[in-house]
Amino acid sequence: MPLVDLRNVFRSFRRPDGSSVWAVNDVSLTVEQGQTTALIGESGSGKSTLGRLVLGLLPPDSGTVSFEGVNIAGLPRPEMRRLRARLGVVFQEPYESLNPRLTVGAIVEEPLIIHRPALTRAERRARVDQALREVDLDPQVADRYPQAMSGGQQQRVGIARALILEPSLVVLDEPTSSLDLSVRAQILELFGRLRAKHGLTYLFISHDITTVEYFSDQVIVLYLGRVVERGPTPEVLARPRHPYTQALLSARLSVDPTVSPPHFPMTGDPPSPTAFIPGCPLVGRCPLEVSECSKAPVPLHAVGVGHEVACIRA
Amino acid sequence: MLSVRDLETRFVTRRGVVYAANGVSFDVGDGEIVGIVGESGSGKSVTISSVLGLIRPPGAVVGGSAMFDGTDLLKLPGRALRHIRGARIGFIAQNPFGALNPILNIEAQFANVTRAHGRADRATIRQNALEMLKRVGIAGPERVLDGYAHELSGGMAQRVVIALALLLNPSLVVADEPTTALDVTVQRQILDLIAGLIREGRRSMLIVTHDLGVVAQYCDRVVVMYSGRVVEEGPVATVFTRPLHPYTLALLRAVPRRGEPIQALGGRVPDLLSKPVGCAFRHRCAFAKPRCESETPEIRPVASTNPLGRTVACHLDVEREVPALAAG
Repeated sequence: MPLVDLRNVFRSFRRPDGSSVWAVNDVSLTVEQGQTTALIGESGSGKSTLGRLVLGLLPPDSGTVSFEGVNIAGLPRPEMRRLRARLGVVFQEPYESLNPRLTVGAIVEEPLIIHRPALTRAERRARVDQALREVDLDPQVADRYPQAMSGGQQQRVGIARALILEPSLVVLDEPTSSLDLSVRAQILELFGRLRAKHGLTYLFISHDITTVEYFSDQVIVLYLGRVVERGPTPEVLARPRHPYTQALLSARLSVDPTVSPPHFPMTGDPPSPTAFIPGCPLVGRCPLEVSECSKAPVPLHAVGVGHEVACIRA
Repeated sequence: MLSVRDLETRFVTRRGVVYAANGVSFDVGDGEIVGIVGESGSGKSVTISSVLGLIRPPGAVVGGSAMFDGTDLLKLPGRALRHIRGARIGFIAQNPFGALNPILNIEAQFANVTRAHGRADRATIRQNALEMLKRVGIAGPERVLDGYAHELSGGMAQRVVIALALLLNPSLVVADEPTTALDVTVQRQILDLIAGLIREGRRSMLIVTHDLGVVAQYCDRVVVMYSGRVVEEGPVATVFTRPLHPYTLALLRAVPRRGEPIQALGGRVPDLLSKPVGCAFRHRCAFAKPRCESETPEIRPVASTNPLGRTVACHLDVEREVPALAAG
């Protein structure tokens, strides 16, 4: 049984002007225990909304979100609370996600106070110390405030907080996007080490294909709220079948000046998120487009072992 | 084209004086695209803001020169500098929506740029604007001219900013992270567009970026900055394939590659609240010597690569020791 199972999930948002944004449009996906599943897409792809749906922070308009086979919609409050304790999350902006009025120690301790009421103060303190050490912070930083720390250190505090309850699933929502290159490498290395040590399952949300390639086992490519391609990361990135995945890969710029960038196949910007799109969401930007593409939604079909693509030309 | 020497810029803050640029020197040759690369706090953005006269109190340029076509930009009064900026030096900012005026339609912004540097009647301005918008790949330029910035997507807005920057045919274009705010599939199109317009017009460009891929693929030469100083400078083709400063090597190694353990650079950039003495990178450098602590390394030509114009600021015997570090 997959750890997380989404079936035909829809989620829209109403804008102040009355129009609707279809953030997640008929998405089905699974996250397997012990694996790192990447959701990759640009702004408006629905990747962060999916993260919030998986965490139970947002209900779907329709469809089901299950955790270990249990539909989390309509769970009674105590069960929902127990579930929350098993889900960790690390956000993109470490500073904005840390309360500036609390010390680092209080921030990391807070989930224990809420979810582990049986622990004594000394036991909580010991766990906080250990969590800080695990993210390579000196336990003495517990007395400091997050604003006195660098971005990389703040992100380590966020990771310690996410892991303090030993969650089964950790959602990483663009956890390295706001960090400098050298710090990004440190944090990725840390995520890898924690995964190996605790057998963590990650749902890794990113727009950066280089990081996804380095870090994930499975990849799900999203465009305008729909899954356009998915499969094992090495397979999908070696043999991308959807023109959008191909465009993402050829948009990547090698740091080796002797390797010239591949031809970039796509034109234009993503359309307005409020536009109703009856067919393939890539219509208007796709080099392979034919008239059938705009008529009806394109379902995913298998093109390899575990490799699926939603394109009538693939 | 542009020759910056010993630039020093400081900011006075409540926490003390921030030494943001500490003796920065580099050149941009005719027809060259030069990239300034560094992490946050490296002084890369402060450097171009200083050159363009965009530093405002509590910041100040306190030393150095920036020669552009025989004129020292740092000594020019505000009005004269504004005249060069826009007409002979075009500027492309990171956030197009911050660069465009939200309450004027796009045509009025073309009129403002044109009229700040000369006279033109309305019909000519519109004609020139339409032509520029077509050159930056905007389909339906009439509609864009009559509309406002908020009606544009990020990619379209940045195309308008590029059209405005190139409107008066500048010989030098300065770009500050011009695609960082855009989606990946739009970034590549905008970079191809900018580089194409620069090459085809035989212009020069100075581009500030944190993205090593942008430098590797679009620049002729690279200036690597760390802690308000240039640590290495030279042709991209040799600097990125055979880095000579330990920091450049570490940056290139921090790029994740599947199947290889990631080689993270430990530590963090020093704060700039005291004027750095010695090499600012020494705390993170595996090869630091006692001398690196006491003596600031001057930027110097590298003997055997001198015809290629490479320079590096490091006390190591970089040609021998850094390749050994890279190999081992």
